[in-house]
Amino acid sequence: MRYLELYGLFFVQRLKVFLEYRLSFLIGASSTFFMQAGGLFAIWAVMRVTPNLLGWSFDQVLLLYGMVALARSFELMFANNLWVVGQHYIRSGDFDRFLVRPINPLFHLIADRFNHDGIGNFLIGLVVVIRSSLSLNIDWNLEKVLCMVLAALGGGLVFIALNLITCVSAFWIVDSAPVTLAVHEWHEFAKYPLSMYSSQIKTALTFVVPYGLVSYYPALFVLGRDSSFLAFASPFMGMGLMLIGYALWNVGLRRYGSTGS
Amino acid sequence: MTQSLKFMRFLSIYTSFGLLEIQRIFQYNAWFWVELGRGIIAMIIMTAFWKAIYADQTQLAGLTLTTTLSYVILARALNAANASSVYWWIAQHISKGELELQLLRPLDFQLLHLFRDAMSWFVGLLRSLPALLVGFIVFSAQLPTDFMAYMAFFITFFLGGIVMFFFEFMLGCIAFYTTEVWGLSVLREGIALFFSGAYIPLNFLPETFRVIASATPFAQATYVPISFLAGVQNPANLGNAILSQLISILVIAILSRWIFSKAVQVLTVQGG
Repeated sequence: MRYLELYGLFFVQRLKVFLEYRLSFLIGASSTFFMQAGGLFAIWAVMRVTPNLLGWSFDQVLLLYGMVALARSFELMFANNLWVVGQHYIRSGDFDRFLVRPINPLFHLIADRFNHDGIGNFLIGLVVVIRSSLSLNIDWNLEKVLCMVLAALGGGLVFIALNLITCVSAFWIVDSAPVTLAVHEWHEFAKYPLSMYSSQIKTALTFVVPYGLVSYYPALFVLGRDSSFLAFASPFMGMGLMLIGYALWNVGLRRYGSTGS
Repeated sequence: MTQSLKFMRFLSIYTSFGLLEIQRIFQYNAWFWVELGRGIIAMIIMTAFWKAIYADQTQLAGLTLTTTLSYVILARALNAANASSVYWWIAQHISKGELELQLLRPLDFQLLHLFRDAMSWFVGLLRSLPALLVGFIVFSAQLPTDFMAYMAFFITFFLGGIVMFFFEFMLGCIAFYTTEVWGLSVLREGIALFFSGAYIPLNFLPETFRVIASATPFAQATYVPISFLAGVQNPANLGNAILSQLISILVIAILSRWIFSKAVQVLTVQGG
């Protein structure tokens, strides 16, 4: 409860910054919308010519795309600082600020900056998922709705956890962004049906860098193509990865010596 | 303090400096490998995607699978090698409050940056080489056999770069009014994805979109040169392509200089 209150306080501070730079906020929040739309437009243009991607229609691919965008938006909004912990905090010595305060340093790092760019991602994800599910005439029931909600929230957790695991490298090499990016980039695979790829890539996307659990398996379930437990696995995998990430974070934190600037 | 303690202290101080060097080298190398890795991931996705799309047909939008794959892989490997950084330079000069110093120099501000960018395009081409090699060796992108195709690529690559430079310069002038650049740059990148042909050959776009896209600076810089190299466009079209790029350069260059002259009058120096 105390941490929730604190988060609210940090959030209000951040909101004041946004109000100071209103134009910047609006552009930032809408900019990711255009980035996503650019990618979607390319898929639309191709699937307009051939409406079949190994048995997947354009609307079904849209669903995958939207689910990835939705899950990723949580990482973008709430945990974007994991990307820049090395560059913005450790290198400048600013990270020491977190260590002298009576709150968990990881919480402080994450709460320090709500990233408004994620709002655009969230909205476009939501719109794309709703739009595609309407044209797919999905026969919704409680299980399917639950599956979608869990996929979005659990998927967000998977995104955050993988970024946490990789950002820990900042304690050793300072700028962890390339390491995070190397793993994060795998989410691009999950914007398309995994059946498109070789079995090794499919396995990696299910168990190693499980972005497949964010979109492909839940989509199979919602579309009534498959009822594998993997459709509901993202929250569990996300929590498991978070625990690993937090343990690694603590190892890194113990090793941390300030840059001394 | 005993000798051994002194030695340990000595060692720990100097080792920490040595480690800093390792960190520095690692970071430069890390970015290189990560970018290459991202390129490979994109190529895997593209290959799987296009093979699936072409599963039941030999030609789509007038292109074969081999030509389309060559195009998308080359586009990814070259990854905007002729991009311009002038937008960021202007923004940086403004936010650091040093633009007036730049303008006081007895040199043409725009021309100075054009030369800076042009040099970076050579470096861009060199940096694309590893990804290009991967594209050719692992993903079987096809190199053209006609020498003219290479000529057409190089000429339109540099002219396209110049078109983009003037366009980005014009865009950079917006920073005079907003003093904000990040969001706008993402916005521009999104729009570029529609029109540049960086994801798909423009041949796949509906006719109206294709006509609009071809006229944009984004397509002039990306689609035109790559379409020559991938065999999407015949080198016989080089004359037309050059003419259209030269007209774009003329129009945008004049416009950008006019906008700059207006924008510089409202310069606000952040932080005095």
